[in-house]
Amino acid sequence: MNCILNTNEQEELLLGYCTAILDPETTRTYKRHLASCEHCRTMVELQKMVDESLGDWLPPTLSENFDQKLFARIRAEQEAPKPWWHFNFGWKPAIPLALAAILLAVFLVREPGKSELAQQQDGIKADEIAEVEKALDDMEALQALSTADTAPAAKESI
Amino acid sequence: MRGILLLFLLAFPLYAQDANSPGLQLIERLNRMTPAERQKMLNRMPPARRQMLEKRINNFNNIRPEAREKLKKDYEFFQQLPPEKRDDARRTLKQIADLPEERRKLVRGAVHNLRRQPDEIRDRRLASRAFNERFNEDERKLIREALAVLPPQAEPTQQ
Repeated sequence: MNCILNTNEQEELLLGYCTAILDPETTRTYKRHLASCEHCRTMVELQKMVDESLGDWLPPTLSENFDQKLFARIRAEQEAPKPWWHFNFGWKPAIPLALAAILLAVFLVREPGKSELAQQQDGIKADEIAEVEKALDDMEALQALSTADTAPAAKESI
Repeated sequence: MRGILLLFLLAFPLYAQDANSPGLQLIERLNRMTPAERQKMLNRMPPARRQMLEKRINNFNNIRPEAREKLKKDYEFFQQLPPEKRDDARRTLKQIADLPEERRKLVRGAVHNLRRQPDEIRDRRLASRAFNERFNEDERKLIREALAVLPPQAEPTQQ
């Protein structure tokens, strides 16, 4: 028989043998193998030592009202108000916030700097006057073409 | 994400339009003011220049509302031209304005009427013998250039 430590079933066989849950035929076969395989004998002995140690281990004793205390503490933690960063808002509320931020940014870009009232206090700037006059020049020139139908010669021109 | 993109798309043309027409925007701002507020706003200007400016703004305000809207559209179209084309257009309009009165009326009338025509009819008229006989070479050039800087009018009217 090949050494069980070289097979896939090594763990099940070893544990099964140590806890005496193998069927009689497998137990006999494994015993025969142990007689000739020192490596497996060592593993069985180590496993037995572990089992014995676990048998000797005693869990710490709990106080009588341990469960009561535990549940009281859990309840207290559940009922205590959570700090805001513990709330799970999800991502959906972020959409209106992002839209509001964009609107604000657009508004600030459209109206940079001072408010209309503040600009009114200061009066119109020279370059702004030039802009107004230029716009009026252009619009007057364009208007002259748009109102040509009022001229008597317009209709016969072409 | 789509909502944010949509908002940008909606907001950007508003911003772009205002950025392209600061003069018009200022006129509209002055129009929203009371006379006292406007006075305060223009108080730094020399009196004669201020009076002239106010007169011109009043003339603009006295245009019939629908004609004013049309004019604003023409102006916004004009403002969206590249700066060098805008300067060319200003030169063209100035040259038309400097024509002798009779010729000026005819040229403006031709531009006005041709703008209302569908492309095909307009091209035919521009190539017609009547057009060539009625206008000299310079005038024909001015008419063509003026038509290039003005948006075509959507609804042709009965002539």
